[in-house]
Amino acid sequence: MKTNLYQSMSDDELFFSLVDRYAAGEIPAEVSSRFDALLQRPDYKDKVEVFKKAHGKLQLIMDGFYLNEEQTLEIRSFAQGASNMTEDEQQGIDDIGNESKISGMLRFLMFMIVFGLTIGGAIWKFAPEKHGKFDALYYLSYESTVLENDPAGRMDLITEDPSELENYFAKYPNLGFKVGLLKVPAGWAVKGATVIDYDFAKVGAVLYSQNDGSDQLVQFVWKSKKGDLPAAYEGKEGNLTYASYTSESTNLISFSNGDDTSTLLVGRLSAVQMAKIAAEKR
Amino acid sequence: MSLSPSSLSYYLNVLCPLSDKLFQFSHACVLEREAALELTRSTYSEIADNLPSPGDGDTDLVALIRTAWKRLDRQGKYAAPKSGHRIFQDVFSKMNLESRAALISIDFLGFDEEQAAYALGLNEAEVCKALSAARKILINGNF
Repeated sequence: MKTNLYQSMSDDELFFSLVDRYAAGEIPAEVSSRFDALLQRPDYKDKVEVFKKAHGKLQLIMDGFYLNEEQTLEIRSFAQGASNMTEDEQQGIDDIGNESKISGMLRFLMFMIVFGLTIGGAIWKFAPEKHGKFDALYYLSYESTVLENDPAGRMDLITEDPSELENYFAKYPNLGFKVGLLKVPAGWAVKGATVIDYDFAKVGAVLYSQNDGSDQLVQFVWKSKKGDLPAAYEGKEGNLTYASYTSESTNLISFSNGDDTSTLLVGRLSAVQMAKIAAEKR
Repeated sequence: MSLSPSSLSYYLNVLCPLSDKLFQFSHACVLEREAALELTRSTYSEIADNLPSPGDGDTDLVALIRTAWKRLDRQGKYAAPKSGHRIFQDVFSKMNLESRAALISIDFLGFDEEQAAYALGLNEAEVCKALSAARKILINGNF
């Protein structure tokens, strides 16, 4: 049955619908020779590796979207609330029938429950929506990798002129904060910038690069809240106090900008080297 | 909406933990966060009134996705959102609705073609066609 299905497929349909199975070493025997032949063609040659990376990115990105606690509770309440309330009501009716002495108390209790639900419901309905927690390390580590790998595709503005970048951030609609550029050492230059617009935070991002292209540094600035970043080892450079983190391939430092914003620097320089650069602008 | 204890337990302990997955599926299909939340809410509201038969874990999610998919306006214009992650603006918005649903069902939720076909009311050939179109955009997408 599947053989008929595969036979009726165009080359594109066959390749792209089975690329995951090929990557997993599970290509069906009846199409393996046709698939191998496609892989020899220039338009399909590198696509298996690209698919693996894109598939991984899709997983990572989609995992970042989830319901917050209030939304989860609302979904539970579709069944739980109604069921509990039905049971409560039945219990109340039985108690009233059996023990008339406590009817007044029960009525008062029911009144308090209804009153509480009314007030709680009003607060839930009219309170501003709370979005998920902004896990800055998780999101921005990923963004720095993507920015470094594909600056042209990711950045809104590509320029080496710092004043153009400052102008870009100043005129960005509803950004709500200032992005102060770093004073990078000789041999380094700014390469461009973008604003990443998450549902729960806007983040200004600036890419710096060594002139020979051998190393890069990404600066992220956002309106921060307590808990955006985990507690970490604190270092001091001049009047700059920073927290440092590390991943497999990069170092990260974060510091407060003195207003309600924070900066996260991501690169392959050491934490101390990045802190020296950050301290220069202050 | 009065559920027996066993049905209530099934709803709370099996179906509710799948709500993030349904939200992610909805987000990929309708692109806008608010519209995805609404679809998630309304699907659970319907499920609470009309529980599917308990499955084996995987099939519980398939039933949930099938309910959500039936609620979607298949002719709806789901425009690329002005804010949010670029995957919605640059990747999913370039796919038709069936392709978004097939991609997220198979490459993110882990359905096989048969499960995707059941959930989306398509035959397997249609799923493969939608999936291949989606993967082509994903591979060439810049996100």
